[in-house]
This record gives sequence, C-alpha cells and structure tokens, in this order.
Amino acid sequence: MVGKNKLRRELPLHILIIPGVILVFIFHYIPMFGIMMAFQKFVPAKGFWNSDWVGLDNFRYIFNMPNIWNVMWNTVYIAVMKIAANLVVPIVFALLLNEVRKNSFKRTIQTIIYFPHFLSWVILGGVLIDVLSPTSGIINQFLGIFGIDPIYFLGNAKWFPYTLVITNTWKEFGYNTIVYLAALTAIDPTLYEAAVVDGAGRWKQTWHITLPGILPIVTLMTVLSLGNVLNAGFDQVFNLYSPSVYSTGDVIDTMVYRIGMVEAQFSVSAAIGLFKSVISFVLVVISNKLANKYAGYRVF
Amino acid sequence: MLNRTKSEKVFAIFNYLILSFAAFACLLPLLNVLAISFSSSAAAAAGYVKLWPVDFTLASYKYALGKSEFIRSFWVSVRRVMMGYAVNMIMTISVAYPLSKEKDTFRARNVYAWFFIITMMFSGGLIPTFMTVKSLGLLDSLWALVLPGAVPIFNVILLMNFFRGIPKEIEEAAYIDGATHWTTLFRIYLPLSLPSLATISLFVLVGHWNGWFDGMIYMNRPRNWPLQTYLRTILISPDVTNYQTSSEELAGMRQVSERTFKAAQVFLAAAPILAVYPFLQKYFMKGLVVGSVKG
Amino acid sequence: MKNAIKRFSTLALVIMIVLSLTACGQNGKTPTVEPTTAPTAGADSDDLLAKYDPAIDMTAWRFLNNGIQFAEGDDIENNVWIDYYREVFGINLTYDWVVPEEQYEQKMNIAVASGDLPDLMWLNNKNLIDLAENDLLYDLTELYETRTSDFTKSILEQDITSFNTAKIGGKLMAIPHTGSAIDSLQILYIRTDWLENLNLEMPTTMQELLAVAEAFTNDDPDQNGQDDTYGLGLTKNFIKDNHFGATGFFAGYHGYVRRWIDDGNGGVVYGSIQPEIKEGLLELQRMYAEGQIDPEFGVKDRNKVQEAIASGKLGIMYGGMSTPGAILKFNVVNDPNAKWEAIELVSIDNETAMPITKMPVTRYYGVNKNFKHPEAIMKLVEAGSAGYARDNKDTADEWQDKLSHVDGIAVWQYQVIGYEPAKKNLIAHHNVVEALETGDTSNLNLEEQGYYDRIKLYEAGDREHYGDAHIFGTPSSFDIIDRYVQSEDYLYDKFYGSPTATMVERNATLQAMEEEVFTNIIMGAPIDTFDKFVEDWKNLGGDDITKELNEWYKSSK
Repeated sequence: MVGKNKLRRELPLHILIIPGVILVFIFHYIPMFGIMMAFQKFVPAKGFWNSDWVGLDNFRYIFNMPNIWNVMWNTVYIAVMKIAANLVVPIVFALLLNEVRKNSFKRTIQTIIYFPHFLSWVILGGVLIDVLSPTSGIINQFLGIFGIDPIYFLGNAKWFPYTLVITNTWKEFGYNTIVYLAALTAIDPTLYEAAVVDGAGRWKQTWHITLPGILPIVTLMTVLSLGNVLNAGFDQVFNLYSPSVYSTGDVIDTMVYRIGMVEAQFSVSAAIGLFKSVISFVLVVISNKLANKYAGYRVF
Repeated sequence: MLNRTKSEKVFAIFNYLILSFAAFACLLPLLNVLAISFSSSAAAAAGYVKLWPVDFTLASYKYALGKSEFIRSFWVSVRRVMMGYAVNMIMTISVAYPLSKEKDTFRARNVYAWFFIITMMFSGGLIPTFMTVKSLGLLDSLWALVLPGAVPIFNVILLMNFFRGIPKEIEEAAYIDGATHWTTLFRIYLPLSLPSLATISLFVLVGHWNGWFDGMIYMNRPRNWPLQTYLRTILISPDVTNYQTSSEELAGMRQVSERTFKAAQVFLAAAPILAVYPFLQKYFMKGLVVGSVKG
Repeated sequence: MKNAIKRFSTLALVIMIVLSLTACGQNGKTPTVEPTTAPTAGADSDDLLAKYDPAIDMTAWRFLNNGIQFAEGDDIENNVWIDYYREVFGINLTYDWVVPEEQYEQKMNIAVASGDLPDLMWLNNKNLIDLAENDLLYDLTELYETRTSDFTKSILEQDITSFNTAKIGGKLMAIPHTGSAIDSLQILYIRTDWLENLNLEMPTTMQELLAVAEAFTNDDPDQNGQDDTYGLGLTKNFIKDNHFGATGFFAGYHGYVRRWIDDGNGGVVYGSIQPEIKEGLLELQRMYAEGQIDPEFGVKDRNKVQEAIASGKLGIMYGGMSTPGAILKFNVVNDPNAKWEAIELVSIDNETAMPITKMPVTRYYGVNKNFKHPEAIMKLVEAGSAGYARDNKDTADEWQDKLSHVDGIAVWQYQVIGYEPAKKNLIAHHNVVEALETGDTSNLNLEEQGYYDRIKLYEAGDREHYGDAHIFGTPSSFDIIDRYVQSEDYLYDKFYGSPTATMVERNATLQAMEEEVFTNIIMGAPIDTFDKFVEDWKNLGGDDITKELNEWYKSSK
C-alpha cells in the first residue's frame, strides 16, 4: 500500500525530469561514441569507422613529450591558484557588499565590477601590456611609490603565473560574486534580528549567521571548480604568453594548440580531453564525498 | 543606526574605500576600450588613446551598424536568446526540482543526478556532436543553437542547491494540505527562489547572447548567423580589400586597423545584456540588509 | 508552441533512427544521391566555355575572405558571380556551407569527417592528400590536359613547383590556388627623415645599418629632446612574423631561421641550427643590452610593436611588400614629416644578403569523385583566369566590367575558383608606374586602375592612400621586389608539402624550444645556450626530421 502511494507521489517527478534526460541523452550521450577517437589515428577523410585503431598510442605520445611534466605542473599550479582565488575573492566581495547600507552605492559598485567579464582576452592582451609595463605601466608606477623595483609581470617567467591568476581574478570576480549575492538573500532575516536582540555585533553576525548561511553554495562552488584542476584557461594564456615565459606559462591546452598548428591532430586532442575528463571526474567525486563527510553537505 | 560601535564605523569607511578602489580598477580599462572605439584608427594604432577619444569618430559604429547584415543577425540573436532562455529555464527548473528531493521521497534521484553530472565532465567532442545535430536535420535551424545545450547542468545543480535551502516545513505543511508537486513547485519553490532564478537567468542570457561558436558550426548559411558569429567576419577596416589579391602577404594587411572595430564590437555586443542587467540585479540584490537596518 | 511540439515529436522519432544507425555501426556516410540528369549540351562539346542547357546543379563549400563586403541585398549565395556562372555557363552554384576565414580549417575538418562532400570543395594540403588516398576525389589529369586553355595553363603553371603540389602519385587531384612567392620576400625599411636629421647616409651594409640603429637610439633622431626612440623593431614572434620579423636580419648573416636550405651537397639542412644564426643572435643580444631594441619586445605582438612605429619611436624594421600600407601608413598619417624608404637587405660581408620565400599554395580546389559533371569545373577554372587577360578589353562582354570591382566593392572575392599569376602584383606595379609617367591609363586593367586612382588621390594630398603609392607606385616596396627578381638574388624554402611523421610528432616542441632559447639569448642568456639548443634539437627529433626531409627532397627532384 505504502509502496503504491509512494510511486504515485514519485511519478510526477519522473515526468518532470524525463524531457531533460532525453535531451541530454541525445546531445551528450550519443555523441560520446566520439571518445573512441582517443584510441584511433583519426583521419577526417576516413571518418570514425575507417580510421585505424592504435590502442593507447595517443596517450603514450602525450606522456612521452619531452616537456610534458613541466607543462602538466604549470597547468595544475596555475589552475589551483585560480580556483582558490576565484572562490575566496568573490566571497569576500559579496560579504563586503553585504555590509554596505547605501543601496545606490552597492548597486553601482556591483554593476561596475561585473563589466570586465565582457572584455575578451584578445582585447585585454593589448590593454594589459600597457598597464603592466615595467617602464611606463601604471601598476609599476604605483608600486614605485613604495620603493618597489619595477616588475616585468608578463615577461618574467617567475612572475607570469601570478600575473595570470591576478588578471583572471580581476576579470571574473564581479561575475562570480553574483552567485553569492543570491545566496545571501536566502538567509532568513529573523536570524539577524534575533542576534541583534542577543547583542551580537556585526562581526559575530557575519561569523555565526552569514557564513553558515552561504556555506552550502560555497561548498558547491568548491566541489564544482575542482573539476577545473587541469584547465588553466586557454584563451587567457594564449593571449598573454610569449616565448620568454614558456617555462612557467605553457599549459596543456596551449601545447595541444601548437601541436595542432603543425597539423590538425584530432586523436591527440581527444586523448588529452579524455585524460582531463577522467581526472576531473575523480576529483569531483572525491570532493563530493569529502564535503559530505566533513561539511555534512552533499552537493549532488 | 545609533548603536554602531567605533570599530564598525572604521570598518565601514575602509569597506567603502576598498569597494571604490575595486570598482575603479574595473572601470579604467573599460573606459580605455570605450575611448579607442571612438578614436581614429591611426590614433589607436599609435597608442595615443588613453581615457578620452583622440580624433573623435563614429566610423567603427557606423560601419558595423550601417549594414543590413547587422540588423539581420541581431534578430537571429534575439530569437535565439528568447527561445534558448525559455527552453533553458523550463529544463533547469524541471530537472532541478526532482533532483532537489531527498532519496527517500524520490528513489531514482541519485541515478538521475549522476546521469547529468557525468556530462559535465565527459564529452564526445565536436565532430560527433555535429554529426548528431546534422542527422536530426537541425542544421541551419535555431534549434541547433538551443537543443544541444538545452539542459545547462551547472545551472541545474546550482538551482537544485538553492531549492534545498528552502525550509522543509513549508513543503510538508503544503503536502499535508494536499498540495501536489505541481502546486508546491509553483506556489512555494519558484516564488521563494527569485534571487537564484534571476542569477541563472543572467547566466543563461549571457551564455546565449555571447555564443558564437555553435552559430559558426551549425549554421551553414550566413543569413542564419547570430550576431556574435557575424561580427567575426567584419572586424576589419573597410579600405584594405581594395588590394585585389589573396596572397598571404596582403592578407596580413587585413588585420591592421581592427583595433577600433574590436573595441566598438565589445560595446555593441554587450549593450543589450547591460540593458537588462538592472532588472535582474534587483532580484539578487534585494533584501540584503534587512537584518542590519533594524535595531 | 505547436511548432515546438511538432519538433519534439520529430525529435523523438529521429532518436530511434540515430540509435539504430549508431548501433548498426554504419559509417554514417549517406551515399550521395545524384539527380539523374539527361545528357546535357555542353558536357561533350569541344567549346570549353559552352553553356549547359538545361542548367546543371553544383554544390560547394568555401570560407568568406576576411573583410569581404556585399552590396545591399547581395550575399555569398546571391551575387554577380553566381549570376555569371548561371547565365554564361548554365551552372547553378549553391553552397553547402560557408564560414568566416579563421574558422575554415575547423569546419572543413568537421565536414570531411562527417562524410558528405559537395561537388566542389576548397581543401588544404592535408585533406587533399587524405581524400585522394581514400579515393574520394576525381582525377583531373585528363580534364586539365584537354579542357584548359593555354592562357589559363600559363597562369596556373607560372610557378610549376607549386602547381605540382596538387599532384598526388603523378595524378592531378585538384586545381591549386596558386599565388605569389616573390610577394613575401623580406624588405628593409628605414625612416629617412631621421637619417636627414642626423646627417646619416642610407646604409648599404649590415655594419652601416647597425651604426644607424645605434644613432637612432642614442642621438635623438626625432629631435624632441627625449631619449624615447629605439633602433630595431621586433615582435615576440620575431622568428615567424613577417612584419617586425628577424628573418631579414638573419639573412644579412646568411642564416635562415626556420627554413630548410641547401646543404651544398644536394641535401637539405635546418636553417635555425646553423652557426650564422648564432652570429646574428649575438648581435641582437648586444643591441638589446644597449637599449636599441625595446626591452619589452618579448611580450609584444605586431599590433603592439606597430604602436612604436605609429607614434614615431622606431626607425628601422624588417617587413614585406605590404608594410607601407599595413604599418607605415599610420606613422605617416600621424606625423606629416615622417618619411620611409624601402631598401634591399644588407649584408655583413661581400656576399649578397638573400631574402627567402616559400611555396605560396594555400588551398586547393578538389572535385568530388561522384560528381556527374566534373568537366563543369574546368569552365569555372577558365572563368577564374578571364580577368587577367589584357588583350580582351575590346572583346570583353557585358560581364567583364562587373566581375572585379563594383562601386568600390571587391566583388572578385565572390568567385568560387580563383588563383593568381605568380607575378600579378609585380606586373601591376610596372603598369601603374608606367601609367603614372605617361598619363596613359589605357593599358591598365580594372584592378590596376584602382591603384592608379588612389595614388592620384595620395598625390593630391590624401595620406590615407600612402599604402597604394608606396606599394604599387614608386619609390615603393615593389621596386625592391623587382630588383630581387631581376637579379634572382632570393631563395626558396626547400621544403614544401605536408609535414613528415616526425615533424607531426615533434615540431610543436622543437619550435617552442627554438622560440624560447632565441628570445632568452637576445635578452641576455649566455650564447652557449645556442650550442645546447642545437644538441637538444638534434636529439629530440631534429635528426630524424632531417633524415626524412632529405629522403623527401631526393624523391621530389
């Protein structure tokens, strides 16, 4: 009896979700036959069914590249820093905005910091060379006030990864703040009222109400962004890097791009893609488990 | 307001300063690009343009806007955004709602959840996706720009998590009153989720409006190109095609004075999004300070 | 909404079909269904240009050239060339797809992979070879022999080596889009008003050039009282860039960076690892250390270095024939006093410095093996050469005026099969210069007339047309190209064709290494790193590539 009732209660849920399942099946699962490209020597003129099978050759090729481990390290190093910065900075700014009482000020600031998201890296490449120039750049002139020697942000291999992280954070933090702002609105206002009655100050309110209130979304964004641990951001790196910073700035995606410039190599890209997929899948699954265990929050 | 402590006042001042500084840092490069878009190509090429146009001209805008292709592809984009928005929102909600249920109310939930999550990480790649779209006969149809991304998984997971934050007591009370899933979704979940729906709306709108790659791949005829795809064909100064040659050497010339055009493109392309922004912002900024102004 | 529901039900149906297709493991290539057409007039006619009656259909794909423009109401499927093909040849040309130029390779690869090919396709070298090897292309050898006019042949075969790249196993599998190799020879540009300011002579040797670079850096050539000028302009991609590249500089030391050159024993060697390059790098290193090269060149692309030219901070650059229009123009527009002159490359010793060029074919016109009217292609090939004929001004029909430029729009870009005589631009230069001297424009074709008209505008004071005057007029970049051609003092990259197996595998790594090492040396790394680079290059696959290329070289002779 209970079972039947339950089924009846569940049926609408199935009906709701089925159209989405079908669409995802068609446009995501059916094309997955393309993954076999990673195990072929794919030639467009031969197509999927006539290209030669090469087993794991494409993976061997990638991991036998002379500088692969250096590139891999660069990728992870840059990506991890970006992940961290893209989590922390937007949260901090959402909290700071949250403290502003003047609504018009808050809105203006929020709108402005959201702008840079719309500038492409091609455009920013030109702007950043000027801004970050060691001789005439505004940033170095500013640092000069404090007696700091000019820094060659884009041309010095030591600095380049940090330049990537900082500029990327600058471009995206406003956009990423929006999610947390939405999460802040969901916090029950009566909690603050109760806290004020108890005599809690702003700092205590933030610590005990605001932060726990947005923790689920923070956890979610953390788990999801861990899937990007091998994505250092092709567009940005490609538009900002140069031969003098290859040693620290060359990442998997730019390397694959250059391989493709000699001759389009679908199978190598597919193999890299599959490798990245597996890694990010594993990381997302593990972090989901860990989040459940330690933060008590299941993301999926 | 009266019971602000001294440290809170100091913090407030610093807060205003930090935020103003951040906004300033975001605004400057933007003003620079804006100034370039209104400058002559020679001035822009020399790097003379800082925050104010040099040799003010509307040439870049006139060139882009003066073509019927611009209007045509603009409408393709508008239609794409409207269709894509409708489909994406319906799909996001209809998938996120069942997934937001716990396993004891919806037993198949985890199977469905992983079914979707896997597609965030694994993809068959461009060629097989193209072949699928083609075999469905969707090439040169707006559906080709809408259906392959009909279920934006990231947004689904985001909304699902927001749905979960809605207090269970409200739903249980409604259930006892005999509410169906349908009424729960429409009377409780959606009205309580306006901020997150506005956020997702923004992501969806920006995604569809800025999308150019799928337009290039799935639209075989230029008349079906959305704006962003079309803009990629005209970012060039009009005078260079006077040279009648297609040799590689002269082809290099064609990239020359694109800087002012590229700058103008940023604003032409972003303007509609910036125009709807305040309407969405209203929702995810609402009620932020409810707790603090009292007391 | 009704439509949407219909779409969805169709979708559901089609899923089944797709599923069964995938499950069966068919190859996804739907056999091209050809309309059964009755034998048509024109197909067997001896007249090359005979019209099909009734008209035949032809499908094709192509990219849209950068900056292509259309008159109001026209587009790529509806324009004067489409009309021309239909009215004159009875060919209804439609496009399966078109894409912006940058995305062409990708879309072509997708289209080739997904399996249905149009009747006529634009191809790159790689896909040409693959499609030919998989027997998907029509062998044009015989058609070309029998159905091409001598005039057209003379244009296509002006550069026979590049024409032959369309032959696979001795068979002509496509019509190559031939272009000009001499157009990409390196040229040296010097700012002459600066020379005058400093009372310097135009350099004729590398030693003199280096002295000028030093003076341009230190002696305030623009006389503004500030130390704000550089000698030589380089981009971060100086190894491969044309404008602001170093190829011309290294050629002054008889080194050829990233080119394959004669080893003197009938074989080929890689230019970048030769001792001459080391010498050139050492000199660049010194110039960099002395502030003659922008300390930030290592991060600047062409657009950024161009700023230095346009704002009058730079007085020497290596470029190509289009540099006056692409780069120098902005300087001249901004500064009425600025004057530039193009000169031949200068040499460090008594041996002439030779610029180096490479095979100019960039695309091929291939024909589907299943196309019922392959001979129709030859009519389009003929149509492609018509504009170059000079003697037909009187015989030209109503179409000729409409196929090149109409109201300032370059409609010639709409043609589906086009190619260029190797010396087209050089000849245009000769004709324009002659017409400027005599005032007689009767010998100019439409394209040349355009250059002529704009040069007249320039002479009347419109500096926007500086490029036309200093590319096609005189003194100009083509004066220099002309001298190279007259004296035959230029080289070809010995390697053309598609990359060898080891190149495919290793070149990306090797080239990145080369760029990194060379940049670092210029910026002050010890010159010994060059020797280490040569070792590494050889060990990491360079030796294998050299071996493969020598085999190829011997077989291609």
